[in-house]
Amino acid sequence: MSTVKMNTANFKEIERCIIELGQGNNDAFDRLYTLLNRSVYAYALTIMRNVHDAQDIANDCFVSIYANAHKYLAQGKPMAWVMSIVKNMCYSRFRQSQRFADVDESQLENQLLVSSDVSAEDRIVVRTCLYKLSEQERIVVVLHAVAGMKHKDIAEHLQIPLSTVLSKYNRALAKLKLYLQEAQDEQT
Amino acid sequence: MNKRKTEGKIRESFDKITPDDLNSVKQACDNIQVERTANSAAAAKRSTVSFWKIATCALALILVAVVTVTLGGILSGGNGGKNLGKTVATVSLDVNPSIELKINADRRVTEANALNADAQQVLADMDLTGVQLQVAVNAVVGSMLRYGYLSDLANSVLVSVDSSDAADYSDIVKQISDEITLRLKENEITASVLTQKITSDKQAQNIADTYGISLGKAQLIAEIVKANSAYTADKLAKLTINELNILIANLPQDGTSGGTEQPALPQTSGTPSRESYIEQEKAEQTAFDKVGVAREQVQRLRTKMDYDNGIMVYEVEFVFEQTEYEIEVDAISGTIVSYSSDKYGKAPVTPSDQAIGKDAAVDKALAHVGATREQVTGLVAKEELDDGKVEYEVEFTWGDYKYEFDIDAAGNVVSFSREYEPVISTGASDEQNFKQRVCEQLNLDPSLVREWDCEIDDDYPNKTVYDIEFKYERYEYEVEVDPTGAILKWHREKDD
Repeated sequence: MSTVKMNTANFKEIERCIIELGQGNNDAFDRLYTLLNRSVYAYALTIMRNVHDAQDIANDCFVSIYANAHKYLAQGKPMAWVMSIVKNMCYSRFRQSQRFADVDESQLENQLLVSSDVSAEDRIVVRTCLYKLSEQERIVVVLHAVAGMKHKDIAEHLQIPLSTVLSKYNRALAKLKLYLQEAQDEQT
Repeated sequence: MNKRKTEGKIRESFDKITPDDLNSVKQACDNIQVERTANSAAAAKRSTVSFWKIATCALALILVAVVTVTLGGILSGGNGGKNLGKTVATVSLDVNPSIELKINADRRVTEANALNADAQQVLADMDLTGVQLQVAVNAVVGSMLRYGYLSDLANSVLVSVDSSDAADYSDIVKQISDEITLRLKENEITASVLTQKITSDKQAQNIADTYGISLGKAQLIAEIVKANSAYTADKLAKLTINELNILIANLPQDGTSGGTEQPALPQTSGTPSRESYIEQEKAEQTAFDKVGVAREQVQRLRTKMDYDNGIMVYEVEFVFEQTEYEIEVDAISGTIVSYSSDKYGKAPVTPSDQAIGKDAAVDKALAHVGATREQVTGLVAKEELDDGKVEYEVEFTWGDYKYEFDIDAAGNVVSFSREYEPVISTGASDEQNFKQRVCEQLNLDPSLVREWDCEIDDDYPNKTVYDIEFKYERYEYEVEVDPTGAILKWHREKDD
């Protein structure tokens, strides 16, 4: 899986895969999974702040995409459609459990330690995103930096003004730079 | 670490922690496929009678169906082979999802239709055909709760019933309202249910067709416009039922206000939720602070919620020291979006030769919002003579907002308004134009441009600049353009 920034060409490919999947071409599912997995999981984790819940939701989300692909209306915004599914599933889980399922920073750290190819630096980046930013800030950051959504689409998705998205994004990124720099300095 | 590097680092780290569950997800998808096939085969075999022997368990079945996504998509394709007889009435439920249920004389659903994209999500793969109306409503409301369309932030449901039989109408409405109220109560939400009879109104049909909304919502909008002609259908069509419900609460109850016909507004139970908005007292305080006055000092305070320029606002009106103030406060962000003051009687006239002048008026307006001349665009200042008094009109755009000021000769802000007008690049045509414009300026052939990516640059909070990246031959270009497509700066480097 590449860490290249999502661009218009990726979105077109995602849309094409959803349409093909809706028409019964199951091969499109693998491609779709590769294109979307990181964004779907990152968004679920950002809202839930719990690795296990995020994994469940990401998987449920793909099942839902599979089940509903035939209903997708192609409007050139497949990421917004997918992210709405993730968001609604997260909120629905909150409602079902009648509690906020997130874990604290050290528990998350432990959850992340399970995988061996995650470096200490990666854990710091993720932890900083999840715990040093407000909920809306981290959502805006993940939707833009990870899922590649444009700010105006994020504004529409979150139903907040574009100017708010932009200012939150700038503030969040400035904060992150600062924390990551500090962490880097500590390590050296 | 620069911005792009930070973004890249975030991407990379999330990439590393993302688990790869493709195989187990595919397994789950295969199960759906198997269940779908089995269910459609079973459904074809069932007779109407035997199928509905289990109707008492239908509620549980439906709820399971929502969660596990088991049944195939036969929602809009008639009654899926079940012999349910003639449709005698149509019920539509609007929240923001709009769902239409057609029912037969036994009050069973003959057809369930999703009327918008949100509704498709709510109905998912539920098969409601043949289900009792009450059970279907229970399932639909349950799904709306699950997807967050109904919550303590939005508790309003519009129920529209199209039935020729008057007694039947009342009975259906009662059954549905009770079911909704009960279902929401289980989730500790107090419902506000609006009920109306569909009256084959031509105007409503027009609105429904023009804006692609349900006839029920269109009828509600048509009636609101009748009651207050300051509203227009195109603006109201974008609102949710909860927002419309809030507006209804503010309409004159005793007749029309500027409208031409007597409106027939729906029956309403409960009150619409205002949880997603700031409290009325807070909005009032913001308005008082703006004028620099304490709550106890004002007279004739009147506050209502309204919809103006695309947002929900609190309209705060009061009188202080012979001056009437009307201030609109954004009901979500709590910022002031418009302000006007009107002094009773004749204000002392500043002689023309003592007027502050256009430039100073512009400075006053800019100072009022805290902007500088360099930050704003489209600055226009006019001097006007109103009743022998000099007045200045100042307009400009700052960030995503357009501001308009009226300033008197002495430099006091008489009124101002702020309107959300984002400069949006959006559409493919804009991007196409940009590409053309950028290539012209750099002397490149647009057809050879690769990996074109254009988005709003967030380094400029108060003006709109687009950040464009693309590849051309062996170079990677980074270009910044203004909304007209004029290049502000650019550079290129070898793509390796």
